[in-house]
Order: sequence, then structure tokens, then C-alpha cells
Amino acid sequence: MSRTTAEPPAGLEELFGDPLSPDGAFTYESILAADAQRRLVEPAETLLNQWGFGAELVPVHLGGRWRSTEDLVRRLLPIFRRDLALGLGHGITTFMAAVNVWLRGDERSRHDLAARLLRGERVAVCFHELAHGNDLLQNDCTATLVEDGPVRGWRIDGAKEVINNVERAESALIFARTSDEPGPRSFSLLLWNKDASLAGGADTGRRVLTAGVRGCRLGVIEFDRLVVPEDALIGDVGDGAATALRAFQITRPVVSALAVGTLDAATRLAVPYMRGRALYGDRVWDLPHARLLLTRAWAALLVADAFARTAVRALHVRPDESYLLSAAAKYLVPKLLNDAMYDLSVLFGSSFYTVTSPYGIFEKWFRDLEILPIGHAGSTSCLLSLIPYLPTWARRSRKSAPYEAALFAASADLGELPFAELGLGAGRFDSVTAPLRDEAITSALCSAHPSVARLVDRWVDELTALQDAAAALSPASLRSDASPEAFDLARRLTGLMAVGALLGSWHEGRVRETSPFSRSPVAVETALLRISELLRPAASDSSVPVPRSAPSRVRWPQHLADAAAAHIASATDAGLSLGVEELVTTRPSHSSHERNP
Amino acid sequence: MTIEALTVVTLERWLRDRVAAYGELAPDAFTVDTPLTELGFNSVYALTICGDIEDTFDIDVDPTVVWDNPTIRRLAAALYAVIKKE
Repeated sequence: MSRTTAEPPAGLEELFGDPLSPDGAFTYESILAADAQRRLVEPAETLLNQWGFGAELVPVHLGGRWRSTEDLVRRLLPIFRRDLALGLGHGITTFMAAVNVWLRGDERSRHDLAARLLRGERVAVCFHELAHGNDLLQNDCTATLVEDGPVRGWRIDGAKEVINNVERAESALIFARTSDEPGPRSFSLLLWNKDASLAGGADTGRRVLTAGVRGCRLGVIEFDRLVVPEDALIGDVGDGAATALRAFQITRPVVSALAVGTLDAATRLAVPYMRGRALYGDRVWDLPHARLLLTRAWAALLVADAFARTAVRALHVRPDESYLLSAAAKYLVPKLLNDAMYDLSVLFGSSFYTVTSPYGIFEKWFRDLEILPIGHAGSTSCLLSLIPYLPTWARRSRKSAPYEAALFAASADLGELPFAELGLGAGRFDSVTAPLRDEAITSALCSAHPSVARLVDRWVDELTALQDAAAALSPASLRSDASPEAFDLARRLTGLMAVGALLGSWHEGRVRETSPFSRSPVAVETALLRISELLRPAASDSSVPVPRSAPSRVRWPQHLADAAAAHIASATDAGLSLGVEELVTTRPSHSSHERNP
Repeated sequence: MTIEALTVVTLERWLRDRVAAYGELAPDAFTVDTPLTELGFNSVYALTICGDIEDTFDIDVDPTVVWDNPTIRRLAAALYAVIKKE
């Protein structure tokens, strides 16, 4: 454990080096080669082990390096800027399991798991059963307390499917039914350390092949009279669902914020491509439409990052609001990221589809990011988390919420995560939309950027319209067979929360050196235009369904796209990340980066 | 509803009204001892009613209170204890 108490080790950007370099152990080329063979880049896994990846997942009070969750995100982002599959597969699924133990494990199980992670061990999250999707409360896998003479233990029966690392992980966290009664108290969590079985075993030999994240070792576990010790239980019998629902609040925003790194890398990779490729007699860079595609991708990245980071900080600053906020972020952020990747795929065109070096990595990122709205907590299940609380949200959001600067400031000192304060309630306030209701902030924004005033007004109107519509919902429309109207309101709520996060991030970032909101005069307008594409036509036509393919009612001025594209190019040339923090990453050594547009 | 006037009986009456409204049920179709799950009152409603309870009585209630008290009688008693404590 001594390694972890010392000062933090060197950053991963530095250790990984330039991914475009022609040689090196962890480059785009080596990532693509490994992906084709459905494996992760081994030297990168070795490097992460030496770096102490496991220590990142362990709270400081248990001997690890995890204090501020935003710092955890910052330190792991270099992985996701190169290979999302490595991030998940090495990786983050161990984090998804561990947070359940940090939340509800007793003293012994928390310290034991901390020691295991500090040694570099992994835990598989055995929650998912294909037949039930994200509907945990229908799960069939059971745990039964059995006695064999003096020995008592839990016998596990059933199977779990599409489980990352299920074969190679040293432990597995199992979500199992412990009562035949319907309802959320019928499930429990068991941490099976594979070196501590009492009887039987499990077959983990069957791998699941996927379209994206091909290097991840996803598999099936079929329990075969496995008996685990009685003290494998995490929390009390019947605590499984409540614990899992609290753990999701941590992992949903963290995974979302990390995945932003992949879009960041893809957006920056577009710059040398646009400069180097000639089409229609011009460089791609010189085509106005191409610069607009790049700008839209950056704008989505800004909104996604502002929202994901706000949801990450909320875990520390407003944990009581995290149930709604984390679900909203996990719905909207993956959607924004995938929509932006689609824009970039149009930009890369045939170079995308034919996997042309050095841009071939984009095609992998595109495939990999598609796991995001499906895996872990699917988009629909995130909306279903919001729906029951829509009427409550309408009431809470009408109460004036104190503006929490720490929710929106990248510089906030967050301390350790207050695990015990995460609940399943709707939160006392709606702090994330507070900036939209704060006259001082909206007028500061509109006076600094007069062109956004109309958009801000539309979002203020949207807030009122959504409050009225949510308050008018009948209880019967909130069930899991919820009406399309309830789904639509939940979707709109995610957009509104994202706007609140964006305005707050602008307000805190506009005086911060590393923020795009101080470094680019068009960042906030670009981001606000992009999120405003989600607004419906004027409220009077809201009874008319708007098809998904409806043309955007937002007009993108070319001068804005040009200024944004110039900013993206200059940040890329300076080796800075894109997002709500523009920080130094590994400066590319590639010659095609040298030319200025 | 003022806290002073609040008794377990008034809480039960309030909950009966809510449950009838949620399930779109006639008030005499169930009693305070009918398991809520038999009334179609699932874990989704547990969340919704918690929001109602919190805003009506100005208390913090985790939805697990509803999970652990699956009849109106038990839920009213549990809520009464929370309200008295606050």
C-alpha cells in the first residue's frame, strides 16, 4: 500500500506519449491492430498496472488516490483519448463494482477490496441478464443461504451475461435474487472472491463478441452449484437494489465524463485531416460546410463536457440531487457524443469508412462510443429514472435554489465523496437549472454575448413550460409503461439541465485561463446553439409531434463556425484538450500538424 | 396540513387518497392493510409518492421507507415517526 500514499505519479499523457508517433507501444496503429484481434494493447495494460490504476479507484480514506471525483476523471482521461475499450476493459468496470462496496460494505469487506485493488486485481460486475436488459428487478439469478454442517454460505444459481472481465477478474460482484416476493427488497449483492469459494464453481469460458469495444473480454458466467461464504454479502439482505441505484449515481456521470475524452481526441484528429485532404480543388479545411461540421462537433463536446462535469461535481456538492442529475447526464451526454461522432464521420468521409491511416482510429472510436447509450445504464432506463419524479421536480424547481458556484467551477475543491449522502430522492432543490433562473447570470451572459439573448429567453420559457407540463402529469402516466408524453418531458428535462450546466460553466469559466469560455469569444454561443437544436418549435405547436429528422430550427452563422474552427485548430496546434478545460496533452509530433489554416 | 394537527389517522387518510388517485381506484376498493403491490403500486409509485410526502409534510423521506412499509397502515406509522423526529 506504500505506493499509494506517496505523491501522485506522473500523468498518463506523459507516460503514454504521442499516439500518432510511428513507433511506441500504445499508438493509434497498435490500438487498431489489437482491436482487429479482439484484444487490448498489452503494454498499455502493463503500464496502467505499474502506474497504479487500481489505486485511482480506491478512496483516500481506504489507502487509494481517489479524493475529488473530478480529479479522478482528469487523471483517467488520457486513456479515453486513445482507447475507450482499454478504459472500460482494463478498467472502469472494476470501478462500477467497487463503488457498491465503498457504499455499503462493512469495514472488513471495504478494506479487503481496497487491498485487492491496490494489488491490481479486478472485479467483474455480474448484474446483467440479457432477458431483462436494464430491468434489474426482474432478474432471475438467485442466491440461497445453505448450510453444510457448520459451514453456511450462499449458493448462486443462474447466469449473468455480457460481463466484462468475468473470466480474468479475481472477484465478481453478483446481483442476485434473495426472495421470491416481487419488489425492490428482494435482491442482494454478493462479492465473490474466486479464491474463497466454499463449493462448486462457475463456467466463464463463453465470450460475447461485440461490434465495438472488441478488445474488452465480455463473457457469460454460468453458476454451477457455487457456494460463497456467508460474509460475501455486501450490505444487508434486500439491500441490493438500493445500493446499486446509489452506485449508478457515481458511475453514470464518471463514465459520461470519461467518454467525452474520446470525442475530444476525434475532434482534434479532424484538424490535420481537414488540412491534408484535398477535395473539389480545395483542402477540406477550406469548405465552409466542413468547418460547420467540425464546429457542431465541438459545440456538442462543450455541452456534453459541461453537463458531465457538473454531474460529477454534484456528487460532492449536491449529493441529494445526484439521483436525477446522474440519470439525466447519462441519457443526454452519450447522445451528444454519438451525434457529434456522426458529424465527424461525414467530415472524414471515405477516410472513415476505409479505415485510412492515420485516421483509421476514428472508425474504431465511432464503433466503441456506440456502447455508451446501451451499456451500464441504457438511455431508456435513465429516462425511466427521471419519469417518476417529474411532478416532484416541477415543484422543487419552482423553489429558489442557492447558486452553487462549486457545482460549475473546474477549480472547486471537492474533498472526498460523501458516500452516505447519496439517496434515492429527488433532491431538495434543482441546483443545476439555478443559473437559468438567476437574473444576475443570464443578464451577464446576454450583455457579454448579445446574440444569445433570444436563445436564453427560449430556454427560460422552456423551463416554465416544462414545469407546467410535468406538474399536470397524472400518476398513471408515470409507470414503467409510461406514456410517450412522459418520456418526452423527461427528455426535455435533460436538455434543460444541460443548459443550466452550460450557463454555470460559462459563468465560472469566463475568468478562468484554461476555460474555452475565456479563451474563445464564440464558445458559449456555439454550445448554446447546439443544445438549442433540441428545443421544439414554438410552444403553441407542441401537440404536433416533431420527427427526429426535422430540420434544425437553429441557424448557424458562418462567421461563428469560422471563428470556432479557428479556435479548434489553434488549440489542437498547441496540444490542448478540448472541452470545458483546455489543458496540455501530448503534443503531436506529426508533421501534418505544422501547417496553419 | 399542519404538523400540529397531524395524527397517524390523518396520515392514513391522506395516504388512502393518494393511493386511490395513483391507482385510479375507488376509495372502498382497498383497506389500510391491503398490500400496496396488490394495488399496482410499484417501485415507480414509491418514488413519486415520496416526492408528494416530502413536499406536503416538509420532511426528507428516502423511497426505501415505502419499500420497507408495504401497507398504508405501516407506511403511516413509519412516516409519523419520521415527522415526530424532525
